[in-house]
Amino acid sequence: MATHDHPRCIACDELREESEAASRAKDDFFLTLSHELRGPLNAITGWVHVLRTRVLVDPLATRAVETIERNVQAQARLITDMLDISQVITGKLRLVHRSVDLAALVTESARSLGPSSDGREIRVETESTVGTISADPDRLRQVMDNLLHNAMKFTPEGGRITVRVVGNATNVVIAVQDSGTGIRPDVLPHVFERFWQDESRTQVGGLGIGLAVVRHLVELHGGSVSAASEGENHGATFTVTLPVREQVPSPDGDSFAAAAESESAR
Amino acid sequence: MTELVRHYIMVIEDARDERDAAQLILEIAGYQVTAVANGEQALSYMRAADPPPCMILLDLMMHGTNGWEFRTEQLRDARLAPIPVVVCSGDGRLTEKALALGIVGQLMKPIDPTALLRLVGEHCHLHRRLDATMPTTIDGHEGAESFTHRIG
Repeated sequence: MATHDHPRCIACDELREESEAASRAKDDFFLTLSHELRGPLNAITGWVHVLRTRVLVDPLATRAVETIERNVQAQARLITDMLDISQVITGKLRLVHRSVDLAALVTESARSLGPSSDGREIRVETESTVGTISADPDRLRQVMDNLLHNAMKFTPEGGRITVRVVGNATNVVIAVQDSGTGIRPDVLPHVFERFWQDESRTQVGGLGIGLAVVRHLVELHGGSVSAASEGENHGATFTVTLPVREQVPSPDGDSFAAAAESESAR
Repeated sequence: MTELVRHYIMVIEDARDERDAAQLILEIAGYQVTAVANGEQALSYMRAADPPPCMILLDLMMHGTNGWEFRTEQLRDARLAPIPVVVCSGDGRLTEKALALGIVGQLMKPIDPTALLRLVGEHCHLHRRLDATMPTTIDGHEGAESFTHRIG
C-alpha cells in the first residue's frame, strides 16, 4: 500500500475498515461462542433432569442417554476446532500420517452423524478404485465431520446430503453435496475464512471456524478444498482434493511430522 | 393418562434436543406443552388455537423467524400481546436484550430446570387467575406448587 504515490488516505481508510471488520468479527465470535457452547450444555442439563425426575420407560431412557452423548460430542468437536485454530495460528499443528482407508473413514463419519440428522438423508457413494492413502486419519476424520456438520447445518429437515469419493492414481476427491440453502456468489469466496460468518445467516449459529479448520487441515495434507453453489436455495458442494502419496508411512506415524510442521509454519 | 391443566405452555426453540428437553421437563411437572421450532410456527399455532398459552418460553437465536421477530409480531397482535414471555438464550449479553424485549423473565442456558419450573409456576398460575377473575393484583408466588400438580 505504501508503494502508491497518492493513496495514503485510501490506504488509511482501507486499514481502518479492515481493522474494524476484524474487531466486529471478534465480537461476533465471542457472542456466538457463548451461544454455541451453551446450546449443547442446555440439552445435556435438561435431559439429565428428565432422567433424574422420573423412572423412564426404556425407549425414552435410551433416547435421553443418546441425546446427552450426541451433545457431548458436539461440544467436544467445537472445543477441538477452537484449539486447532489456535494451533494453526501458531503453526504448531502436526500431522501423524498413516495408511488410511478413505472409504471406510468417510462412511464412519456419515454414520456417526446419522443420529443427529433429523430426517436428512445422508448418502455415501464410493468408487471402488479408491483404496488407502497416506494421511492423518484423525485429522481427515475431522475434515469429514466438519464438512458433514456444515452441510447439515444449512440443509433443512428432509433434505439430502450426498458424499462422493472418487480417485485415480494421483488424487482422491471427496465431494460433499447438500440440497440446502446454498451460498450467494458474493459470499462464496469467504466461506473458508477464519471467524467469518455470513451475516444474513447468523441465526444458524456457528463460530466460523469449522470450514477454516477444514481448509488448513486439507492444505497440511498437500490438498485443496473448494466450495461451489448455484446460488441461494440451490444447495452447495464442498470438494476436497487430496494427493495419493506413494510413500509408505512408518509404523510410528512420524514420517510426515517434520514436513507438516514446516508447512504449517509458512 | 391423568387430566392435565387446561392452559398450555408454548415452547419456541429450534434446537430439537433442547426443545424436547424443555417440553419433557414441563410435561413431567404436569403442564401441557406445545413445542415448535420457530416464531412463525408459534404465531400461526396461537392464532388458530383458543385459548392462548399461559406462557411463552422463547429462544432468541433461531432458524426462520427468530426470537426478536417473533416478539415484535406478538406485540402487534392484540390477543397475543399480553401473554407473558420468558426468554431463554445462550447469549452472554442477555439482560439488556431481555429488557429491550419487555419480557417477564429470562433464563440463561444451560437452563436450571428448577428455576424454569419456578418461573412457569408463577406466571401460569397468575395467568390462570387472570383468566378467571381478571384481578389487577399480582400475588401468584405461593400458588405455584398446586398448579404443577396433575388434576385427578
